[in-house]
Amino acid sequence: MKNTFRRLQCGILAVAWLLAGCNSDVFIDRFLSAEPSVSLSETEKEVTVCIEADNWDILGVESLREGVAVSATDLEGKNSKYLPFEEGETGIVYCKNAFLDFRVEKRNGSELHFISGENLYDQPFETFVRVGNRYEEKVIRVSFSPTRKYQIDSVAYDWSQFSSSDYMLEPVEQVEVNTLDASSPATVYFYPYKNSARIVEFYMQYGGWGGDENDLRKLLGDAASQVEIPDIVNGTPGLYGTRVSFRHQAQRLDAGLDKELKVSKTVEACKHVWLEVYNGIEQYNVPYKAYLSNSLTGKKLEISGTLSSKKPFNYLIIPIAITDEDK
Amino acid sequence: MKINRLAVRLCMCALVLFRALSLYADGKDSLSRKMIHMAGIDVKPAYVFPTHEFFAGNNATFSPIRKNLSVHLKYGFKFAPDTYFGRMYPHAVQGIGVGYNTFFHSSELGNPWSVYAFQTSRIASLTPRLSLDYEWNFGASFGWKKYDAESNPYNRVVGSKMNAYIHLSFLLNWQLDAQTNLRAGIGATHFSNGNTAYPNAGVNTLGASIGLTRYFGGTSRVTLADGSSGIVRRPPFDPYVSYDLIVYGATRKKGVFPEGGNPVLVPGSFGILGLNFTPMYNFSRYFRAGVSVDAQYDESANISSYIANSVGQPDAETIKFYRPPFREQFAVGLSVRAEVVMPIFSINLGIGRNVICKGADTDSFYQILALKTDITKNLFLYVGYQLHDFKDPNNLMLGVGFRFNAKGRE
Repeated sequence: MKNTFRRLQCGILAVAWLLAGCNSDVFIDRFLSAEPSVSLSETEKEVTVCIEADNWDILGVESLREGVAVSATDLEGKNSKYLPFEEGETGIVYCKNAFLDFRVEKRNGSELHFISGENLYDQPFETFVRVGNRYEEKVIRVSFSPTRKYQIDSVAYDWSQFSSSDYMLEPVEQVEVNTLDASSPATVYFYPYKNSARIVEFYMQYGGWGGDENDLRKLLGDAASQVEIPDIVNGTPGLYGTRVSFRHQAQRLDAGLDKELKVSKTVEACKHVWLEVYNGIEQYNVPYKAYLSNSLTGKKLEISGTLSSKKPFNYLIIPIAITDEDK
Repeated sequence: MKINRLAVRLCMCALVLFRALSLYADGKDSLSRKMIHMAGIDVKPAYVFPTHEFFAGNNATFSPIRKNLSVHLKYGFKFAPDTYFGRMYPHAVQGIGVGYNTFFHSSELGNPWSVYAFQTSRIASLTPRLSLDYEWNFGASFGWKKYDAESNPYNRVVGSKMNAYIHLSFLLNWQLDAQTNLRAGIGATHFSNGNTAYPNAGVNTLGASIGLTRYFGGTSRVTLADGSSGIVRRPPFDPYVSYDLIVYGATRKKGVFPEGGNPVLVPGSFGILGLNFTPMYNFSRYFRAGVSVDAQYDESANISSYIANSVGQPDAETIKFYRPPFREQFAVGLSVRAEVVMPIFSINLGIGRNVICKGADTDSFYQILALKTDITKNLFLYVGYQLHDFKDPNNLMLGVGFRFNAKGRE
């Protein structure tokens, strides 16, 4: 019995030494053995990185494009949070602007979810998500391939605010003719429609998506969608099948006039005149709203502005006498 | 309240050790209950080795620390001549001692007390009344003023209030009369904390020793056993093989050198757990030797390669580690062991090398100095120290062992 007691004493001593020796405070678990890379695309919308230990937090998102905002909320998306997350904190980090929608979700300590929305840039979106704790950091590289562009579902015109006119003149050409020393009239020929074109321009209001041509191209791509624009036929505005690209920049369209039309103007002798050639312009302005949608994300976008159209429909040659005062 | 783990362990060791001594002193394992008791006093002036600039004068008083003086009171006992141990080891005296030490520099070192077990015996008889003896002491010393960055910044040699105390001396023993001896000689002393706290440069002294011992009881048998009469009836010794199985544990401190940074003393203490299996051939009643299989788990092994901090330079407050794989913390080595066998105590020396290991910390030779204190015929207490490169501390070893095929005391 005494031997047993002595052995028990010794056993307790040994176990006490063992337990007292553990210096677990200086050890931390490795939460990531390597620094993984994540590739997101239209087909890989969500990637989950498995974390080996739960002693990490989302510290930040780095190397973002200019203008990409980073924000964070709780898992319900209701309450805002600040980065870096504190110990064990869960939440969602959003990286967003008009052309990018990407988020990182920490729902628990063992996984990190990368969820893509849309990348309307024409290049892959590259970023680095920093994770770690107060002792170490690891970087998860994220590459987000471009996703499909928006398409224009429809354009609506506000006919009630359609305004038009046909009294404007646009100069085409100007020629000085001097027959002061001539003994007979001089005839001058013009091509009044040679360079005439219908100018159509979508003026766009700046919105959340931006507003310039580059921004619009990010949304729609190089092959911009065609939309139907109004024409005035017999004095009545309406949609008669003319389609143009939905672009920010002014577009020159064929005005339907004979560019080879040659007209003459005779100036009598002993005259000194300017012959000014004008096109008569039929102009209208109409507010519009373009409705866009993205078939990948289902997101919808609305662009509003004013459509302007200037269409030449005839010509006018005006002689203007040049006096000594004009010289 | 912070508990000094070393102090707790050494106290537990002392309790078990004193219990072992008391068991033997009670004569429960011998044929006779008559013991020969001994009381002694020693005075030991010593020279302090300037092993650290602190001793050379880089201290608060800017004066070298060269002198040490200690006074020791001891109680011990011999086994009666008609006992097994009395016949086998007629000159062996073992017991406990208390010493008071001064370095004449108490402001930074303190005046530590030491409490220890000792054993002394004869190496050679020079004349009928003069012999050459040895004595070792092993125990703990208390009352050190340890290093403190604010209050004791120069003392970078003592990192603990309590330190191990190890002493070995060689003495001329002059028998003044049948019960009184005068002993004088030289001895070396080492104080350190066994790498359980930093700093651990330790204190080493070399000095003289002079003292008186007086025996009480069993006078006639003392004379008989002293060999002066020339009649000692020792039983024959048949060589045999015994097998020691030892389990030990300890803690240790660890310093690391982060790449491109300053050295960092890692906070806390790391655990050590070891297992030795040592078949040994008992050549004589005084000596046995063999080969040992030494398995050891060291929680701190190779952690230098697993520093987790990647943010800034780590310091003692921030440094963290990944836990190395088990195979880098565990090593199995083979060592040759030699053991001086005396009553109750055996001193074990070993030199070995890890053969199953991985990583710089374990891929090395090691040396072992250990004291085995018999509690029963088969069970013993194991206190030892492991070094590498014959000078650099590895770890303490505090444990218990079981001896298979133990013989003796019959």
